[in-house]
Amino acid sequence: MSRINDVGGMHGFGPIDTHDDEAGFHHEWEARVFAINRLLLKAGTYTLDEFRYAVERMDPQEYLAASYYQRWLHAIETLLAEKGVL
Amino acid sequence: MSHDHEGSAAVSNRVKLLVTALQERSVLTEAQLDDTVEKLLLHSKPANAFAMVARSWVDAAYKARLLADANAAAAELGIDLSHWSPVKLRAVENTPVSHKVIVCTLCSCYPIALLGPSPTWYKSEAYRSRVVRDPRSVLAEFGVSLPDEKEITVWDSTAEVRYLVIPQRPAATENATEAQLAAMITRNGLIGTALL
Amino acid sequence: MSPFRVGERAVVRLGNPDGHTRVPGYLRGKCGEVIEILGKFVLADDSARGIRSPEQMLYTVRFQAEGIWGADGAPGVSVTADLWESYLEGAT
Repeated sequence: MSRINDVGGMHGFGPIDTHDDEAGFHHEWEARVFAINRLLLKAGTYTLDEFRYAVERMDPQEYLAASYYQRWLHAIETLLAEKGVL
Repeated sequence: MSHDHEGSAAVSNRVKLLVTALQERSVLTEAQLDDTVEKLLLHSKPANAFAMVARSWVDAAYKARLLADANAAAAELGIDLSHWSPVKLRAVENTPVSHKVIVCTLCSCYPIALLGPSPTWYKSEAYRSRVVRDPRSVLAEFGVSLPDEKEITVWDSTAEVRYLVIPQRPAATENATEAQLAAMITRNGLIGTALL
Repeated sequence: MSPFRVGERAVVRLGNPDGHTRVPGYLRGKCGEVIEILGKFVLADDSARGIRSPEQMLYTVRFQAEGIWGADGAPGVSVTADLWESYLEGAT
């Protein structure tokens, strides 16, 4: 476990891009990933904690290179494979 | 499998394949996906929190209820939290001596039910790493400069609670209506990265 | 393990479990004050592994910045976190 998600207090991430984007999603696929996750959580396919853990288990370099919803997609794919759904 | 620098078109295609596979296995349908996004955008929006905070400024009893039980205070204004149950919401109040700011250092927990999907900066490593260590410089980057004597509390959403800041009522608004007050509120103001 | 009361000091247990946890690394070993008892919730560490364990008391604990970051912590700054009972031990 790298715990790459546990960034509180870390140095080196640079200035914050404070641009206040009103749009919740920037691509249609992001909204779809969000919706897939909601439905799978609701169906009990996995729990929110299992989902978070699947994000955290990403390879650290891959994690940092991925966008926010790419991480989600990765976690969904990981869990669906592990649970034998896909 | 590496997704380094994976373009949006490639990711979009990956999502399409995933949806197709899930449909084939009868896990979900296109209609359910559309419905989920539609409901999210309909029910989970900043206007929810704006209404709650504006009410709290004009009605001290409501503010007390909001601080005691934010879920019940949201329901009182007809805000539907059922899509997010069993989320526990909690409001924390800015005062003349103390400023509050919200973060989730471990992921990106956020009161989506009351504020809609979070801004990109809220999810960034830059914000999440630094606001707990040096909130004054982070707030300065947002254009918020607080006097040295003002206390700052950073609320790290590490578990099941989703936080919302009740900002101080803007000055010289004694005659403003509740709707006018709601229109003065900004999303960043309710995260703690803006003053009103 | 006795539950904590509001106003009591608590120390975040040291450790580095190989799995999911909701203890932020920067609070490990730090001492704070319990400011709120939030009720019982399923421990995320277990839930993430698919383990069904009994719900556990969750607390909001406030830490002074100097206590977390030493000389780098600014006066007048504090950080709160929501921490399960098993993450905490009594301060001596």
